[in-house]
Amino acid sequence: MRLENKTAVVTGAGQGIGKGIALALAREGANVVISDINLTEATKVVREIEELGRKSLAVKTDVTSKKEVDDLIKKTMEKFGSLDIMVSNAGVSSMEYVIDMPEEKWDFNMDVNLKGTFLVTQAAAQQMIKQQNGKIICTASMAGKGGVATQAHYNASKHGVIAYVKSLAQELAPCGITVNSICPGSIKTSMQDREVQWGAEIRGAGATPEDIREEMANFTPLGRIGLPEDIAKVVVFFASDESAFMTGQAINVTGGQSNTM
Amino acid sequence: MKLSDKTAIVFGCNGLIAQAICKKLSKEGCKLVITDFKKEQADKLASEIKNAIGIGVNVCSEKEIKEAMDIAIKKYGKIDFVVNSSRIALFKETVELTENEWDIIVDFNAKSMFYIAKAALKNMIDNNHGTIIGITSKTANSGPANLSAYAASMNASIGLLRSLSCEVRNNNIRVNALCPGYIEHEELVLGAELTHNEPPDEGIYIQFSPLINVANEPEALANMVVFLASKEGEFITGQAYSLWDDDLTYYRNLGQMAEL
Repeated sequence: MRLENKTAVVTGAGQGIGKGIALALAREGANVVISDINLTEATKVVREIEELGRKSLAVKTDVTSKKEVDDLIKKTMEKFGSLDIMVSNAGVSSMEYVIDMPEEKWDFNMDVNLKGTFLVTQAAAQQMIKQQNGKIICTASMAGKGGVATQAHYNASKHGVIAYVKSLAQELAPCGITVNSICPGSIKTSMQDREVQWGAEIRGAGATPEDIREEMANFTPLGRIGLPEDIAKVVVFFASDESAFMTGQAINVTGGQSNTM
Repeated sequence: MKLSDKTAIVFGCNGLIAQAICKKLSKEGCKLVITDFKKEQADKLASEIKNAIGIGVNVCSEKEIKEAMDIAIKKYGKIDFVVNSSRIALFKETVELTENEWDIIVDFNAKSMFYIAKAALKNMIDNNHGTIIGITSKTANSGPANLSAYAASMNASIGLLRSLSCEVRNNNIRVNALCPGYIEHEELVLGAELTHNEPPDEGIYIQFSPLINVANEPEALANMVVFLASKEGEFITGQAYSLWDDDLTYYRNLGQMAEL
């Protein structure tokens, strides 16, 4: 096991990619704090982690609230006494054309995905600087490197995460803390379920969510939709000592899919 | 002249880059509406060039941006080019950056791009024609220390522009970004003012590569704007260009700030 006795916090870990990451970290020996805005789902994941023989804790966190983010780190320190791995994963998406995009949708995507990343990693960095070590991993997206119609706000927020991570990596390098981002492609999650539904509605002409999903798989050279476990494996790599000499990177985990559609 | 009878609106003109862009556009025959956070700045530049008017616009206000577009359309009948050169910067460690400072920088640099693009598109879609150019930053790629909010906001703008280029490709509208290789003194001044920090020392700017010739960069970027706006650039969209392709993070002339 590569992460024995390490303490990890994963935001947005109640479902989807975050849940996959939390379970993978636990399988490698880490105790994992499950942070999510939905405490019911977070509590279910805590049970799964405890079944693996690790310690866990569910914390309700709205990552756009500095107070709740600070509280998450405080609770983690109280229970586990260190913060070795911070996975800033909580994210949202929606689909609108810019011309019709309400300001609230811009704010929703930017606040959760970009400002949430700032608040979570800042709070984690403040603790990790005291320890003079730590691993920060942010879930960006393939959308952080290219553009796609109807997701300008989402693309903007994920581009922002990638640049933010590069800057933060420069700042924290002298403290022995690495900061990297992963860029998932088309991954089977509840976020994707919503997106293929919206995608079908926007396209019209009788298109079904299954059509959109099939298209995503066809755009992927490895020929399938990705799974949360595909992303989690790369996060474990960034959380482990194997990635000791990597920082400020944005790694695609997309099955070979390119950045733009 | 490459841009006779064309009309442009330029947001943010306090720095040398935007001033070079406005002067070059005017020289090529383009009629201009020039805006700045400080009205006197816009008026001053407008008085120095042909066929230009100045307006004070806070790019954090969608209302003020819409009003500026309306003034441009009323005066010239259409908008062919929109250039957003509104940028502010704050040089500060991320662990010390406050939530309020983050919001001010990201809103001024990235949300403004959303407001401006959205407001311009309505007229451009009606005309089935138009070009949007965002002046962003090389930091979007290089991610220097102590400028995380700036880098994040600049890459956010590029993400927005890339998506937008896909959305409007059937409306004959092109959307691109240019990435200056240094942060201008004026960006640091306005950034400090809006976030209530100490102003930077006189003349200080932040440069990202020893290769960048800061003296020539405004002119070179202005040439790129004319190229992208003119017929020569009519098959270019969704791109983010910088003039130098290296990822060095290099500070020059930073004075006290370099000690951070």
